[in-house]
Amino acid sequence: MKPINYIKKKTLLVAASLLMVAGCADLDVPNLNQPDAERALANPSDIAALSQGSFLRLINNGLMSTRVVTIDLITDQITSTNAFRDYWGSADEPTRRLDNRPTYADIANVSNLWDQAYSALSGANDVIDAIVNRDVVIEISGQDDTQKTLAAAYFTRGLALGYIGYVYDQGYILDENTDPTTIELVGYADMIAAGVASLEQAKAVYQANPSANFDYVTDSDLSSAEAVQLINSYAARLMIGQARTAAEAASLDYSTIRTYAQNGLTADWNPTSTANVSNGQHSWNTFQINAAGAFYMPTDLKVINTFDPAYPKTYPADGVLGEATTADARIDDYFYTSDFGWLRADRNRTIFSNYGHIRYQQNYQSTNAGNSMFLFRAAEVRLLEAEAEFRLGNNAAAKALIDAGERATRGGLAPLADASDQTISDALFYEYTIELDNAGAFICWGHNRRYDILQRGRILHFPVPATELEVVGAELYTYGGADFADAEAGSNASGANSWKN
Amino acid sequence: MKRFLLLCVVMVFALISTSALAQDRTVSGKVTGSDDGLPLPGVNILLKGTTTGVPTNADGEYRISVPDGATLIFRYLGYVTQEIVVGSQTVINVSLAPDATSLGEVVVTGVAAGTSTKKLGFDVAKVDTKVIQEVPGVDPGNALRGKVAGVRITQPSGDPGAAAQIRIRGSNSINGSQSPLIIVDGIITNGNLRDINAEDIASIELVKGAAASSLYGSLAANGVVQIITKRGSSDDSGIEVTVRNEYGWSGLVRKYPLSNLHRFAPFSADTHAAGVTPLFGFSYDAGGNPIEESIRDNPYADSVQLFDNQDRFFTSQPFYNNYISLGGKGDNFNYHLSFQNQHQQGVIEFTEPFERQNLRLNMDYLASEKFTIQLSSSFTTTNRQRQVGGFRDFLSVPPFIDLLERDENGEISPTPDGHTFNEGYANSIYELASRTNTESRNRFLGGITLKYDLTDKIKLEASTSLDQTWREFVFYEPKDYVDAQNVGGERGGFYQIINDNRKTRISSAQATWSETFGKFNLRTVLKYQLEERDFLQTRAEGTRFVGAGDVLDLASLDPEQLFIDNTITRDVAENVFFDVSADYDDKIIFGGLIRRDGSSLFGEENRYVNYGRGFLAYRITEDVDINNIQELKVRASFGTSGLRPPVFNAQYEILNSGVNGISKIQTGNRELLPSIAEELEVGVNMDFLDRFSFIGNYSVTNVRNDFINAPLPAASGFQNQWQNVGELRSTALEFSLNGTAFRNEDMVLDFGFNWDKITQEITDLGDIPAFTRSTYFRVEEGQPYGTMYGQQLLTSVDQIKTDANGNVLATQFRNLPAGNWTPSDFSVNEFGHVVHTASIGTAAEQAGYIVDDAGQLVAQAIGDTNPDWNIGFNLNFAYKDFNVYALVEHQQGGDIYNNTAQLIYFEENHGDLDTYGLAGKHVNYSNSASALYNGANATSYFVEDGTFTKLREVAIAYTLRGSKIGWDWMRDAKLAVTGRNLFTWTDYSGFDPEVSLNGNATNFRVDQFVYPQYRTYTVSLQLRF
Repeated sequence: MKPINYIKKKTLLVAASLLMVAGCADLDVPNLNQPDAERALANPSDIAALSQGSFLRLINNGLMSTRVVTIDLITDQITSTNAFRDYWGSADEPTRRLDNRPTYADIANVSNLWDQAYSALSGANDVIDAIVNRDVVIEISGQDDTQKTLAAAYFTRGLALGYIGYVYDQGYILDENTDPTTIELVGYADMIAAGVASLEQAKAVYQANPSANFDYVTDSDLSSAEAVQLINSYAARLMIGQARTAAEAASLDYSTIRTYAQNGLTADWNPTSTANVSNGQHSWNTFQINAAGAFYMPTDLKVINTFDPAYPKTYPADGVLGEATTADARIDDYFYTSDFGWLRADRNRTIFSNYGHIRYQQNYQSTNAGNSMFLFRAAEVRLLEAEAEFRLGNNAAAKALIDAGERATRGGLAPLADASDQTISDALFYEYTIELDNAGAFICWGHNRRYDILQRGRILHFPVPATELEVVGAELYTYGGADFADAEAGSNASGANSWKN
Repeated sequence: MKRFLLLCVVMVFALISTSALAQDRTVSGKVTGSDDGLPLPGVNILLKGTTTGVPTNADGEYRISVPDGATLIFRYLGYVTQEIVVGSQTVINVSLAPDATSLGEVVVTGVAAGTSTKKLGFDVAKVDTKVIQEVPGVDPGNALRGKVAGVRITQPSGDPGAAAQIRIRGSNSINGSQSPLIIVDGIITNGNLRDINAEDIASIELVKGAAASSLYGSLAANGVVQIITKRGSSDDSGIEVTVRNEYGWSGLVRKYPLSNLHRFAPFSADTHAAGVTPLFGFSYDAGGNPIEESIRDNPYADSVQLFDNQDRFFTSQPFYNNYISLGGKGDNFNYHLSFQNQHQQGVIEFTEPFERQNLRLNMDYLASEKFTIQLSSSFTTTNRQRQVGGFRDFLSVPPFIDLLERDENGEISPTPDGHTFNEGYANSIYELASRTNTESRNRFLGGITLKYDLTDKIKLEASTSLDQTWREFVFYEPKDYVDAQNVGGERGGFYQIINDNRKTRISSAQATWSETFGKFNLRTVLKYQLEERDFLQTRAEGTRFVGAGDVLDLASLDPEQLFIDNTITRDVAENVFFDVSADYDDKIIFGGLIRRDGSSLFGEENRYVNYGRGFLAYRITEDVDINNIQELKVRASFGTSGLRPPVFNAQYEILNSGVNGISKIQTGNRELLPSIAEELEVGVNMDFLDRFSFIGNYSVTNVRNDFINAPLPAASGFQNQWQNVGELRSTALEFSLNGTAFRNEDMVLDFGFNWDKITQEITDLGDIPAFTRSTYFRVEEGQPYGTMYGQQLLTSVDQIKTDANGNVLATQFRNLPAGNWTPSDFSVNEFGHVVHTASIGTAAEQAGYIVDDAGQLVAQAIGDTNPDWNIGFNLNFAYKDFNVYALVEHQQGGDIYNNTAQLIYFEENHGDLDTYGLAGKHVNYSNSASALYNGANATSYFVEDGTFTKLREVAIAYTLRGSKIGWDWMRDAKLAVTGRNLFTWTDYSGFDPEVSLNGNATNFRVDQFVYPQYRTYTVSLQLRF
């Protein structure tokens, strides 16, 4: 036989056998470690878990993340000279420009809340879509939890949209019917309005279903009426938080804000922490690093000077400051130490401090579980109401609320001398700075912004994070820096009413 | 079931193709080489006067049907042809004598069946036992150092339990593994060469590029390393016993330059505040803080006892290796049985040593003339210290702190005198001495192959293998463990147990058909393989022991703090290939391969992918006589292979489900493909002057469909998706020269020399924007892969940027005094840094960085970890019974980011700070607030050139032949003194220039407090009976 024909014959046979033999094994192997959306969204109990997971993602990984301390440094509630997470960069004076570029090692300071909020928003929208558009019924252990799950999803969405508007200058609005490929960035006012609208949807469901409770956060179990109070409190905080400057603050709808505050929490919302859900702001801002009691994030001079106007606003070039003198009993929430801990004089001695906050210090040295988280204090709701009254011109009502509050009950201070604009305004600043110190992410920042109290060049909101801008191919931009305060007036503090003046 | 089906198909195929010549008598036999007695595959046996012929199989055996009075011609390249008249014998064994000094070695990797190197169309490197056994490496990875061109072996840290990382030619993946496929005796393994001992190695074969590794498809774009272990004694003299014992010790090669001066006011009654205890010879203020001066140039007082903590931490520790093997050969079987015990303590007394015991049994059994069973198996037990940490602390501690200080119980103190100085330091030795952190591992690696000669020309083979590893990790911190930096805040103990089991089972069936048509030799192979990999891991940990805390029981931990988790992964793959190798008259060699890979790791839409190659080679010297050149071959090959997705869950949509409910993490990718590497390799093989052999290769590889975990826009709700984006291009130029420099009756000098240059670049990232990995490494189109990004120091006044008015932008220099400056106000100081001239010697003097026109600090390329070129050189000089062996490696170029130095600057303990102090610089110039430290961000200041020359291996040995002293029962005894990693010549300031991050050791060359490299000296005695 000729070799060539031989070879052809062999080749044909081989090709045939190849075809026959391939495709014998079963190459479909499932991932047993994590569920996919199909599994999560088909099963009603998983939709409930998605709803809870989304809320906790926003609250625990976003608002209680240790990343929120960056804003506490910018607001001068705490101070630091550590390069870790660029803390010194945020605390330094004069104010530095924010580095919003993907090459910035600590871009997560800017992007963490954005990522967590949008992840939570997406989950919440999936839940709402399942219940509203696809009529899924959530039945768990014989109980119909559909309305409860829906209300919580609206709540999550409201907070996600609202907080993006509170913290960033722009954002995307997405609901259960939005096509993600068509969205555009909108300004913060629209974000907050959309957030509040979703909160209203949540309230409507709670109010229509008295049995719908809210128990997503550890050991807290709020009845539908209490959930409505909580939602009203957030609505008040987010609406008033829209204002970046005193000028903007003048034109908010304080009547609505007051109504929200009046129907808000009457007692603290205070779930207990677990190993997986805990208050990162507390654990870092009250942490002591050595036996002498020096703090990881010492309390800024702004707070101590508020207690004691004679106390310096700038730390002297040498020597150690002594203790402050004040009639306010709440100074006991702070711990004095002559030890500077990790503060480095060669970086900026003027921002040093000898104090640290110990009000919330519980088991943070060794464990995250079993601590009171104080996610929303009733004191803030009273202050929101007082501020709304003040802005509406009802100074007497404002004074009454402030006088009856923690100023007296915890601080032991006498009532305010009068009800003048200056006195009320100062008293509000005083209470935010001291009573609401570490009471939650962005609270003091939100207040200081709307009174132009921040130092010149401090940012009034974050730009859209560089990680997002890069992924969608948009141009990078940023804010901040004393040199840019005039050019970026609505985004950088002018320092007109700076606490340091 | 599937295997049976395949066997049926193959047999049908075989039956059809059997040629139908009527023959008279069958003659069979075995062909071996007369020099070493090893079988010769592929020998052409022709019936003289006809075109009928058969080749020998891989075991050198043949069967041919002959008429009476026939003559058989035995022909094999590299050997003298023999003609044998067939008389009445039915068995004719032939021993062929070598024709030229350089033998046609046989390789089995990268080719479907054993092939002579002369007949390869691409480069397969072979390192044989002689070179490996001079200084047996602690594992095969180390044994390969400097011996093969184009191969990078890096030991990222000196940790005795850590395996060497291997990278062949350029990188083929941005995110995936850089390691080649590891095969042991034909068994595809899980990797990890640390479990195999070097004394068992007969040879190592390396397949470098995609063209050669195409045989392995989507497993092997990074190349293939095959370890071939010994299978029995080398001749027919019965049993061979080898006993080898090696004992020695390891020690640190270089120390880190630490500070010996300080910047505090020396004690004097004038300055010291009363009532405060003056420690360490300083003056203190009323607040109890030492008084700081502005220049660091004060020596410590004589009364202060200083300790060299590097010497206290790194001490000489023992190393030993015991090995015994039995090799035997009988009529129809051969076997190799061995046991090895290795103990390597490294250079730290307080850690667990690395210990390994390895048992191996290889057996080949000829059940009948046609049927062979081969077994290769080994069992290994290892135990090691896991993740030695604490290197930062002992390098940060000032010299007046004694890390070996003991408390009243004689235990190492967690709080030695002075530990609260500055911000407080932890005692690394206490950490190591008090905690347990170990990994123990058991591994079984075994395979059985059955070979059956269906006919003279068709051989069938079936095999199955198992590689299974069981690991247990234990981490225990006692309840009373003192955390010196967090006194009062301890966690009450910690206990963690992790157990996992990784299993790889592979089964295959293969049919080989060899045929000779006149001058054409043809071999075709068809093979099917099924792979199953399973991994299961369980983990439990918790803190806060209740009660005494000595009980290692998870139930005695605080139930609120318990964390339990598990992971299960599985992947299944099947593949088929058809390979053709042919040559015309032994001089024109050509062939090709197609392979179809299917894997459960690929996306649902793309489960099956094809690979293939073609090659062509021409042995010029068969046609042309060139003076002094025995062999000259030119070759070219082009082929593809690939890499599978780097993580198990890359294709899946993932939501996180746990205690906090469910949340979205990753979008799935149903179309996920394996990556494809396409390589073109051209090369030359030349043997000349009867004693040298030269190999030159040039290869270009393009990789596409690499894997990137792409971030997604926030609105999608998911954070990332694995996508096939990313293209790389790499080139490799390799030269090897081996041979005998001279030889006479008493002396011989053999040497091996390798040179290579490898480049690699990222050519495309699709829509993904450029990004940074592991803080320093830039992944960007058009940049070499291995580029480091960071801030660049100003080195000349011309680089200073000004604003529109000509004023210098203030962001370039920290602490710049207020005012309007022009570039003429700046100059280059004695250290090469651009500084504000008027500030020199003051607190305001700072180096400057490059900014853009808007004044923002620029992140730009500050270094490239790719070396310019590499050399490996080994020589073996023998004089009578003595021999000296040495291996030297040289790397030219290749930058390292010295992050260890950067962090010691922060701790103000680096020797450079003394240099600046003695030059009169203010402490601000180089301390934690300085521009040089740059706030821990990447800076060109800490990029160092990693060029080095290393004397890697040296052995001086004396071999005494038993017959020489009348001990005929002893074959020989070899006494040797050896050294490993003896000397390093380099400008790099850290412990060792071979440092890198474990995850991507050849590219991410960052020095970040790793266990330093050390040298080992040993004495060994080997007896063979």
